Amino acid sequence: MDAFDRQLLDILQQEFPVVRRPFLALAERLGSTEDEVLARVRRLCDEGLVRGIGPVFDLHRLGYTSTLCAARVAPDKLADAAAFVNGYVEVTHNYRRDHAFNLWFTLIAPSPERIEEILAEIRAQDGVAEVTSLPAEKTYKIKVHFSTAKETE
Amino acid sequence: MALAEWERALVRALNDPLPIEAEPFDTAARAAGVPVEQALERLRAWLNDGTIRRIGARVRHQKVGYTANGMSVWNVPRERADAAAEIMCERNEVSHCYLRPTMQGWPYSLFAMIHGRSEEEVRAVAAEIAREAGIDEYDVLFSTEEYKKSAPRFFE
Repeated sequence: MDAFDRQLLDILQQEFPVVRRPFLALAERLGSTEDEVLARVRRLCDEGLVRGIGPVFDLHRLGYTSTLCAARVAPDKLADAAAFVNGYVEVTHNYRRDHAFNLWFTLIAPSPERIEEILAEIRAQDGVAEVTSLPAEKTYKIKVHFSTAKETE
Repeated sequence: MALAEWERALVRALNDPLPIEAEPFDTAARAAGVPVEQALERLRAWLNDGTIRRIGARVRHQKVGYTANGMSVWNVPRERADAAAEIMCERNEVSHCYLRPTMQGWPYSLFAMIHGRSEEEVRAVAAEIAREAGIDEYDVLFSTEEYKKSAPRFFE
């Protein structure tokens, strides 16, 4: 990744132009060409640095509800439980963490009823001792930007 | 918020990443059955009113050096939560910050995701926050395994 890529990546994260030809708009901003910017972005995607470009919706404004769940799972059943949880399209993030509550996952669903339905099915799984839903009472910040400004070693 | 059928179709089409081509919004507009300028105008309006938080690239942060991601959790009395959260949110290393319910065996109500280039770095940020906010009881839980990380899919 060179300086141009870094600059491109920074702008790409926050300000993708919402116009017919956004890569042309980016090129004009960066003093480059549409073809060059397209090629660079394709490479960043191919190399796995960029997962994809698109809108991040405020799920509540679309009528969806979300929660973070903490589960206590028997260690020897954790891999199976995690795979089961992954099977739900409503599960977006799923992590193992070092704590008695060792499985943490987020759920996004069209209704609280659907969330409860999913949790009941997960609770019924072998080795799952406990699953608690911890929906946000307040959201103070949601801002994901990974600065590439500093050199990685 | 009640969306028209074409708007739901537009959101659904945008569940998948934009194609990396000269006119990337054309596919989604076609799927929604509207002219591309109409789709673009709606997306700009949604950006304006907060229905869309941002339009941009999702970066695989581990690949740009942010290999340490700690879920810092804080035992804070309710009446001090807002002030503590403000201190956390000021920091660039904190991407998400929420107040959540507590439970048996879990006294922590404030959650702040801290990203850094190493676990030491993340713990150091948490220690600074603890000092500044005057919180003694906190923990930082690192994800020892990522089982799934995907973007949500709406209206499917």
